[in-house]
Amino acid sequence: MSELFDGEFLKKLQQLVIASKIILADGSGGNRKSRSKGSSVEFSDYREYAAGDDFRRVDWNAYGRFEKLFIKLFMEERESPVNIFIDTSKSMDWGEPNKNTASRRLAAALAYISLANYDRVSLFCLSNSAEKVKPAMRGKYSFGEVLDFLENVEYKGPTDLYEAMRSSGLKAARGISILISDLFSPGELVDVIKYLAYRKQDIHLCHILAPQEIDPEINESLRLVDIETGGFRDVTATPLLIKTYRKVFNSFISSIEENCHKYGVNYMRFESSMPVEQMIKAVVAS
Amino acid sequence: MTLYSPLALLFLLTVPAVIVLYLLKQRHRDYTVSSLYLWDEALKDLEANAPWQKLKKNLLMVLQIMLMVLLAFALSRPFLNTGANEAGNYVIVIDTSFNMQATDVAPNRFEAAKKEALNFIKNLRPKSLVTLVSMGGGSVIEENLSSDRNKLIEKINSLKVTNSAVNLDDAANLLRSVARQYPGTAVALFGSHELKVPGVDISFSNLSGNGDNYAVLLLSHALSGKNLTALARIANYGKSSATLPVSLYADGNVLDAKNVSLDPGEVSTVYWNSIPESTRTLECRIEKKDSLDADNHCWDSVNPIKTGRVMLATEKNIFVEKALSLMNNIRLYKTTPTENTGLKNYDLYIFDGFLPEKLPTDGSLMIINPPANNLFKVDGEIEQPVLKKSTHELFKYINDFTFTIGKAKKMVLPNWARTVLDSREGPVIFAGALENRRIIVLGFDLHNSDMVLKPAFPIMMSNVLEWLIPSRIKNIESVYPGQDIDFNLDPKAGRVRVITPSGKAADIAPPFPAATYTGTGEIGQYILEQTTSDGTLYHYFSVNAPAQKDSNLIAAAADSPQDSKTAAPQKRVGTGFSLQAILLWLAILVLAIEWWVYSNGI
Repeated sequence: MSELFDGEFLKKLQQLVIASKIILADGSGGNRKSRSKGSSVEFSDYREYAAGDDFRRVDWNAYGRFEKLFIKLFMEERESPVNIFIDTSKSMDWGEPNKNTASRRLAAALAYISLANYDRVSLFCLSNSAEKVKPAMRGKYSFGEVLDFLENVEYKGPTDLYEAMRSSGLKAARGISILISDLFSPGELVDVIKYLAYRKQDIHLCHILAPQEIDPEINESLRLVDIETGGFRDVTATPLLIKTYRKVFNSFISSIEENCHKYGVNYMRFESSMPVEQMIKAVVAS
Repeated sequence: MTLYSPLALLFLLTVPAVIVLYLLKQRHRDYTVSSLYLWDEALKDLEANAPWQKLKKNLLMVLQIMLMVLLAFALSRPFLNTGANEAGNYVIVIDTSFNMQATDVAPNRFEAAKKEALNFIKNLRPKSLVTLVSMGGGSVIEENLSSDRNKLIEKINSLKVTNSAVNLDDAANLLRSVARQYPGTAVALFGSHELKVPGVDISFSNLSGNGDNYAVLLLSHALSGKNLTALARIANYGKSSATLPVSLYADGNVLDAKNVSLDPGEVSTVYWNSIPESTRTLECRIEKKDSLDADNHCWDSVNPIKTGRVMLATEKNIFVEKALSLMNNIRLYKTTPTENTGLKNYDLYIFDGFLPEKLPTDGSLMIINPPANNLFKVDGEIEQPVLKKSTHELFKYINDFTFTIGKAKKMVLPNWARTVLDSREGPVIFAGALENRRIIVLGFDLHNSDMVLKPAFPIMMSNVLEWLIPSRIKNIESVYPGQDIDFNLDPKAGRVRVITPSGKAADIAPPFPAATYTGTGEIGQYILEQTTSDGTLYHYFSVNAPAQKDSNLIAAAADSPQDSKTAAPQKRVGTGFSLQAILLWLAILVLAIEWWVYSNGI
């Protein structure tokens, strides 16, 4: 058992269920509600009888009341592909507490819950390309693989989410895509969202930030060095600079929220200091 | 511009120090961030919102350099020479005369003048030499050629306004002599009396407020029958007509009140009759507030006229007898040289041509044509002495008194006496006080001179009597503030003192002869108290405001001494300007801005 995923953490996971707005269209039978009407026990809708329909499904009570033939439609439950994209650029390996811990724990928790729900889980590590991919794991027994995969993630290089996403080999099948990133990749988010939507994904965006990114605690003249590129800026940490940073940060968040709202993306913002169950609860409640 | 402490500019070396400190301070510590994305945006935003961002980056440094430069210049004591006189010598004249008490300038003219003078001093060049003169009844040099600012300021603050009318001629004389001694001296006059002296550069700060003023110019009395009649002259020096309530107080009690209506500039006379003869002091009061209160009162003293007893011991001197008979208030007794034993209880003894063996012990003495005696030495005779002109007070009111003497006694002036009339051969008339007894000696027989035939002779005799008989102290019944008084004391007085209106007593004798009394600065009723063996004699006299000269607040500023017609045109004296205070204030301002910039993080 690693430090990253201790027993206490795993115990908590079993309590949580992920909910998705997307109802999957096809795939193997699973535990998730599908838009296809099928043979499950869960009633979905009525429609008028048409020639060729299975008359075992005719609702005779309705016929007695309206003297018309109605067919009872039932929800078909199917398994859903859950794609978890983790931003593994160097910027994610920063902060106190470190964002990499929070992002991997969140990814692990989501993977576990999905596996427990008989979903098919794929993990993708993205930096400027899809660094590592762990495709299509099924069943709780695959969780060991998930942990193994996550523990060996390397955080390096700059971020190019769109390119990385494109090179990930994501299949164009209905599914859930969860992106865990700090989104410090200007202008790419819309492309990423569009790409995922094109790939018929129900998109969940888990925006992870370190507390120091939300509220920088600097109070002197500093050379700010970019952890990804090594580029730097000399600044004197005046209250006005901090004020302006907060303003920029707020507009950064609002622009993300706006885009997410526009494209129907479920956006959640987490601080790396949040406990993972709190993050999961937010995801489940959404 | 002059820098009086140029060495202080070395303080400018702190400027590079500030820059070096900033350069050192600019070393940045490395701080890794996850992304510069937001920081770049923030910095762009800052620069976009403030075009002067580059300057602002170092705004604190710029402010600190400014602060250092300002402090350095302030310490170097810069002085702007805007018209400052090159000699650097100044005379500051502060008017301390009576009408400077007027409150038509807040808080009053005198305080305003002092304030202006203090400002003037503060702006003088540090090495300027200043002579401080107070100009009142006389002009006094309070501080001579001083560059000690603190001493000058202290001196100005300690100046007091007087009740005396201004004496501009005295001030003009003083300034003229100063200007002669120190050419180029600039005079700054702060007051309400303009002074123009040819050849002297005088700047006049006029503190006149042209306020309304009413004044009692005069209060006097006369005995008519059994009662007194009082006369007061009331003036309206205001700009509009006024009805003034005027009261008369007798010995402190209100006797009568009248309303006097006066047009601007009008002077009116008010009479009161039937004032009890026993009244000793009269006071006339205008019961209305104006810009100058001190002249709303006027006092008059009523002293009972004592009849002097004069013993004339002469053989055949009809001239003296005739002259004495013209005078009121004396009772003349005559005797001959043979019947003069045991004389006493007379106020004046006149011995003509002889002296008794034993002189009387009381009263004053007038000795005419003295024989040899114990009082002074008589040493033969002189023929037709060549007389010198006399200015002695016994010759006052006499314009032309030329006479000749055929034969006179040659006398040696004793140490107790002063010469009244001198000749080339020695004193002809002398007078003095010997142990509180006044003595006049005429060293010639009146029959040997045409003096007695001159119209001035009775006047001289009147002066002689006034001097010799103390009850006739007419000359002190009305005195101007600041006037010195030589009292004509009773020969029997053992102790003499003067009690001022505020109740302070000042001893003026013993020793005899009494000292000149100089304490007449206060306005009001004074009492001369003479303690004699027969009891205490009280003589009242009044010191009144110089209302006739100085109460017209509107006209006062236009006064100027006689030579004003030829005076140079007026101009303001340039003092230059000390920049130190301004620079210090600017430094404080910069400091405040720096603090604000720092705390607001601009």
